[in-house]
Amino acid sequence: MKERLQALKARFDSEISGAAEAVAIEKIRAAYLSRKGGELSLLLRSLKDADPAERPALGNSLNELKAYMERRLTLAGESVGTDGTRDPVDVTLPGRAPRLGTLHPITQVRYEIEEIFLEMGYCLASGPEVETDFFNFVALNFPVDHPARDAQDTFYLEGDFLLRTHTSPVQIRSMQARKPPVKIIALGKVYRRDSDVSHSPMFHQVEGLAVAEGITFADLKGTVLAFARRIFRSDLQVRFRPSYFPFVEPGAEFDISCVLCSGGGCGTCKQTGWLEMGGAGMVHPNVLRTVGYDPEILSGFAFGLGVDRIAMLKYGIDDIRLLFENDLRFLEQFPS
Amino acid sequence: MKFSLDWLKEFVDPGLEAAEVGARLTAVGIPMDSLERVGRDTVFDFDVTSNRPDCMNHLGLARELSVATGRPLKTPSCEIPPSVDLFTAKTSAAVEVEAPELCGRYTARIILGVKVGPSPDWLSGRLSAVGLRPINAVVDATNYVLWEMGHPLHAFDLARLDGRQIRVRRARPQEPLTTLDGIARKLDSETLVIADARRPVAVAGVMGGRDSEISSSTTEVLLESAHFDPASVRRTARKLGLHTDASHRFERGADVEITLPAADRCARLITEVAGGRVLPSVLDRRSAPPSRREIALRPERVCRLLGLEVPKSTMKDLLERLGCGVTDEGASRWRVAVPSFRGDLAQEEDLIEEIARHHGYDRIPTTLPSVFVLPEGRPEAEKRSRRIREAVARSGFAETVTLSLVSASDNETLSEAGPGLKVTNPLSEGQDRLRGTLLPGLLRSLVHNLNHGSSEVRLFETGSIFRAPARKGEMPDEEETISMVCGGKGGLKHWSGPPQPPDLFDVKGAVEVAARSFGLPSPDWRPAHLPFLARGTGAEAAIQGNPVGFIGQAGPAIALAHELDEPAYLAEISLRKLFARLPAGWGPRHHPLVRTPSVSRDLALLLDEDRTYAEVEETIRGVEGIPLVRVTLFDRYRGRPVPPGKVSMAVNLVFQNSGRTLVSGEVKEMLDRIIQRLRDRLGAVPRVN
Repeated sequence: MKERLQALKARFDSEISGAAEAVAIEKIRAAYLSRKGGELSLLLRSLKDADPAERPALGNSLNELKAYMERRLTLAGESVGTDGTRDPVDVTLPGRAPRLGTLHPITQVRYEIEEIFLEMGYCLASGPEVETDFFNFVALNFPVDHPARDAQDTFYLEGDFLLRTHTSPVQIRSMQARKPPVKIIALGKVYRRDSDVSHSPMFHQVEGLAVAEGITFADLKGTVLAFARRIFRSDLQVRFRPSYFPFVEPGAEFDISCVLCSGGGCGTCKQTGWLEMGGAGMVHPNVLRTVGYDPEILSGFAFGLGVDRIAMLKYGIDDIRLLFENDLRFLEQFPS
Repeated sequence: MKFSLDWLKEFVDPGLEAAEVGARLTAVGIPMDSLERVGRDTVFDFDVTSNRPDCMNHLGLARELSVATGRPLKTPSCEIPPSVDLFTAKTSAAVEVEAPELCGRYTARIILGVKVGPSPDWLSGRLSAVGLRPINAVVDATNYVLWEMGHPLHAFDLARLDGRQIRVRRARPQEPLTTLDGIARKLDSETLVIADARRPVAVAGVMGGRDSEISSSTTEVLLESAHFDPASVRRTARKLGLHTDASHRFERGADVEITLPAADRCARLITEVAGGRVLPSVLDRRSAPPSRREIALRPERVCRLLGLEVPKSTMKDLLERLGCGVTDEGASRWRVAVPSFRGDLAQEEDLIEEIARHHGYDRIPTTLPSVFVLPEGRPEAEKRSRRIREAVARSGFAETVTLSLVSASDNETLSEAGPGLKVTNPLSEGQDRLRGTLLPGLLRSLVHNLNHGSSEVRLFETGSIFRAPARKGEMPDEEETISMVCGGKGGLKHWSGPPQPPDLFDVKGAVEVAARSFGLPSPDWRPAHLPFLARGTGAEAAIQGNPVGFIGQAGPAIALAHELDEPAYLAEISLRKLFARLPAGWGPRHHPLVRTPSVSRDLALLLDEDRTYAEVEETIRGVEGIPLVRVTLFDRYRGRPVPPGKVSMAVNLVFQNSGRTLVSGEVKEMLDRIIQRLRDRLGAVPRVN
């Protein structure tokens, strides 16, 4: 009996799966469930002749099968359109997707930079965009009336304030707020009185600082190299050249091998194979003294580079002004 | 700064191609910007940093090249041809320094019998190569020595110096002087001048005066070679709006020991190109102590700071070739005497840089700091901003970054905070204030996108807005803020239905998403009038009774200022105020799920049209003793068959008792009480369809 039921169910399944029209479905319903000649109805009716010991279990099985058949017939009927045939869906119609917002490429690069340094054990620090002469200059070993300030193109504000020209004031604020060893990065807006095709009066910098016993210039080189390889590509080279920033000594500028031509020479690197990336050096002893750190015990490195420039190189953006124009056709190229 | 390869070769023969000369100097910290062939010469443009005034001339640059290439350095001759003369400098003129604090040394040579004409070709050619305009043989000779040895010199027509004397003093208030550029200036007592017995004849270290300049009739020359205080020269040059070759070098620090050799070198050159004879004896007033700087250097520390083993012999050799004297003081300590032209070398680290840059930065290995600092992860505030940015972006807004510099009228049009913090040296008038609201930049971006064909624009920005300090001595306030704008007539078209152009409820929804992304309740909204919003569209958002920001439709003033001809909707929320509503250590918390069945009922109401939805919801929620878990407005309708002056609102109410299943009689009783309260308070009539 059990085998008979299974065979019946299998036959029903195959018939109902093939039924595409309302007429066919009704035919199947009649064949199995009609009161008069339906196969399952006949079986139910024959139940009274069964062995009384088996009767309850058999009855359950038959009723379960009946319920199953009725549900399948209903479902099959629902997928049939009003004209009595199955209504094929044009699956190529556009989906109902909500409009995707985006995060600005600067924000995306920012998260990526922060992630890299967090993994390298740095803490995230921040500071105000409006600064004082002390934090932006004096504490960073820029004396009053010193020509090194000229290169900074400072915007001055009423009330003896200024817009920070670099993220370096955060070095001072972080060292004052923390005890060594200190390993921080600070990322944010900076301002220079400069505007042309390749400059915007507002841009973004990221600053790194590590101060502890025994920090070396070699550590600086290794850190910058590790970062550059993570953010761009794993085979690039970094080159350090001596340079001058009052708050570091020895001071350096660093270049990376061109990420576009791999050092072969192209328009972006002006055929030199190198791209200028930023400034760096060993924290000047005067800076350490200003925050009450003893340069005989502690040493440190600092580096700074342009976030906008990283974003431009990474995404192939050739005009910095695109970053601040906020054209949706541009922004939507950076899904997040 | 321009340099001629021919000229450099007078002092060092690098034995290298021009491009390689540029590369070598770049590698030691004097980067080459460009190089250009001019005739048989090559002209370089080097970017000399402000700490290296000693390299702002050919001899100084040749010294670096000599160390970088190991080739010997030759120095120019400063010997004065012997003369037998009845006169001496001391009997022909007098020098008095009345302000020694600003002028540490004043050296002068007297040359008589010059015949001033144009310079010979070799001299004018050299000057032209570095971008100078030849003037006459005497002036050209001073410029030549400036570009050769780096010291600024000035030649006076001695016959025009009243009393044949030089007095170095502060100017008197309002004292007049017409400088070489023809501008009549009024000086003040902060300005150091070179004066004769009667009047100023030059602004010290910046520019000479017209009355005493060398002319074709000049026969007697007083040649000045002085040392002035760098900060004073810089202040004066800035005040006068002048930047000259002389001030550029004095600001960066000149060499007090070079005044005499430079004067002699130039006097000799003048006799060669303009004839005449140098009088014996020199006028030399000096208050500056001899420059004898000595720095202690620990060779071991060089290696420790660089992370590189440098042989001691290499260190010593490099320092000596740079002009330093090195004396051993025991095995681990040297005494290094620094040459007078290297004012930038003041402490041990400066010497370490000298060694490192000539030994080669590329020899330093790459390692990583071995120090471990307990990671802090992202700061809480940073995590919150990030969460909110992502939530708003997910609800369809594109993040922007706009300029923090705006105009006073931007701030006044879009905020109630006044014109904003003033930039005293703006690039342009339209960027002379710090933004007191994020909206100006966002609206500009909105208009930009509408003008470029977008039919629907939704933008947001997070960033600081600025306010002047509340009290003197405090820092200006920087408040982290999020703002959204949306607009566009079209909306997004979709085959399944008509497009829905953005409206006020899009920005409102974004604000609600922002609050909810922290598990905060949706803000309470109260109609609020802000002068820049369209009448009747403004609303203030408050959380737990504390205002956090506003929404509204841009009013006519904004439309005019931004040339906006479509409706635009704005929201600005203070993240500081929003985050202040978060309990400390906020994070998601689980509440037990209520497992009893809930009961849902719809209720349609007819109300006077000035009744707000907030009143309806408040009234419903105000009925005591009803286990109401959700109220949702699902329809709002005016027009037929709703009578004029009335509005229909339909709400869905969900009842659920956490303890037991509600029975239908109870629900009916609750609904009746709600209807009764709505009738009493708001005059609402249940509507039967």
